[in-house]
Amino acid sequence: MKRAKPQEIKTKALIIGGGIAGLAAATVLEDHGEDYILVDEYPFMGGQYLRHREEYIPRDTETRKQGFALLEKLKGKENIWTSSLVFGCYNGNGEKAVAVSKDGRVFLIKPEKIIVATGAREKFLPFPGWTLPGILSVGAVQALVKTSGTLPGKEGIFAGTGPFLLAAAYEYEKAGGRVLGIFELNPLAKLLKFLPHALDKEKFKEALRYLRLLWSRMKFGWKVERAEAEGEKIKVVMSKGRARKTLVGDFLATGYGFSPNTEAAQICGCEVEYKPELGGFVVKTGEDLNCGDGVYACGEVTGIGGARKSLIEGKIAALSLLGKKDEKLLNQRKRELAFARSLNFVFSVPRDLWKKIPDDTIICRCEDVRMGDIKKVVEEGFSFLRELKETTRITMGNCQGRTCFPIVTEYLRAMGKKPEPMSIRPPLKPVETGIFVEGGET
Amino acid sequence: MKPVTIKVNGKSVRAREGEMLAAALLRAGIRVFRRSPQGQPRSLFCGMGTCFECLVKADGRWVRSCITPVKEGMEVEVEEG
Repeated sequence: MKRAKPQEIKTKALIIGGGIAGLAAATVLEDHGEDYILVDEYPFMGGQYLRHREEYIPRDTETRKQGFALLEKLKGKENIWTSSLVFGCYNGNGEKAVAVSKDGRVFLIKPEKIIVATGAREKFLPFPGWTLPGILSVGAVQALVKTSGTLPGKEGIFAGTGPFLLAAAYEYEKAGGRVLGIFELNPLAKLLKFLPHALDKEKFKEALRYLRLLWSRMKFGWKVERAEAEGEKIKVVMSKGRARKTLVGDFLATGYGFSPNTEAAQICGCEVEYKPELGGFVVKTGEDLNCGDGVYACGEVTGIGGARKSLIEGKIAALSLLGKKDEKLLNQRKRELAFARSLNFVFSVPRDLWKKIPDDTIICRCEDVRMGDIKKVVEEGFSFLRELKETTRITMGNCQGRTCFPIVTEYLRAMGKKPEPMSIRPPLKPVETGIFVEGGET
Repeated sequence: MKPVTIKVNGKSVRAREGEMLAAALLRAGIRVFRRSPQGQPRSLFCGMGTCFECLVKADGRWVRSCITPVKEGMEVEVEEG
């Protein structure tokens, strides 16, 4: 067996992530005639926000219009790599080498500078039964609808918190599904008190469009107690104080906002900090989105704020990389950050709910670790992530903690512990060992 | 999208070229994609390549079916529900 020699490629800038932030950054570099490579893990460009199949491209908001224009502009370019996974970053001789797995081979990209635009993933408040087939994340439902034109079932229940529930339910119903109910965890009074100040014209118009269709089916202050399989259907028990409500649907879509995908930034040397008002652990940057050491971060990784924030930050990061600054963009970013903070505050999960997760609830879906297993270890006095990992196996499965780490972080915080970041090691996501061997099977 | 045929556990399933494999499986009425370490049924969950719940074997390789495009003649193995 012989070790495969990775192909080395030098470039001025490497952009990790081809969502709206990465695309915005790439366009700026393109316009300045800079040499760059953009890599994305998915088989398509555009990230979650723009992952629409060609027959279905809505241009209903200014941000979406601009997003699709970026996609169109960069389409088919050879320096844009899809299905390419960044799995490591190595320092040596004062330069960084970023390891990418593509077409069953390893490429070592040696960039002068790096822009990390790896977006976010959904967060969850687990309940007994949340691992059943037929219970999906809100994003999964939306992706099925917009990428594949497929409905996960004829009648769906949506439960969780945040405007994304409403947006996804709207798209699902427009595609022919039937929304049985949208159960927002937060009470209407809290939403009404803070939201109107946060919304600008574009976002207000978008919200109105969704509400016109779905308002009568929206319920506020409801929490998922548990879910069970009932034949091919899903039975969901909801609670509000002492009141209980049982619904049966073809599927349940659940989601509680987003958490930044900071892993690639961390492995490239960026620091993270815990900012609940921005979604959890976020990449630490200056106003110019510079993390130091030639690495820049933009979009959801610096704080959960939506597509328009990502679009603005992508441009700022690329301009910073070029040693330029645009005051107008910096001011726009400040407004987006203010919006992000209100949104994450309004649609948050009350702290005590993390402590009320029943013991038999699975927390780590990869390794089937339950709440009771974690509680027991914490009660014994262990609370450092490493200790929990070693004793329970949380964060040690295929997803490497991407799903359970934010949950465990919130639970520990509710128990009065200080959140600590996860230590990140290569490979960032599982890769086939065959890619490291000459002529290896992958 | 162009109609194609794939094989799932040896049976022919109709799909559309380029759509995500998970979508084709769900439309074919396949609800369980794999089993967890404790033997529980699992299926599509995050839909964006994060959670690894939708892992299946396609043409002999483990793939996340939510971010794997369908190809004509693809041979897919799921763990029977």
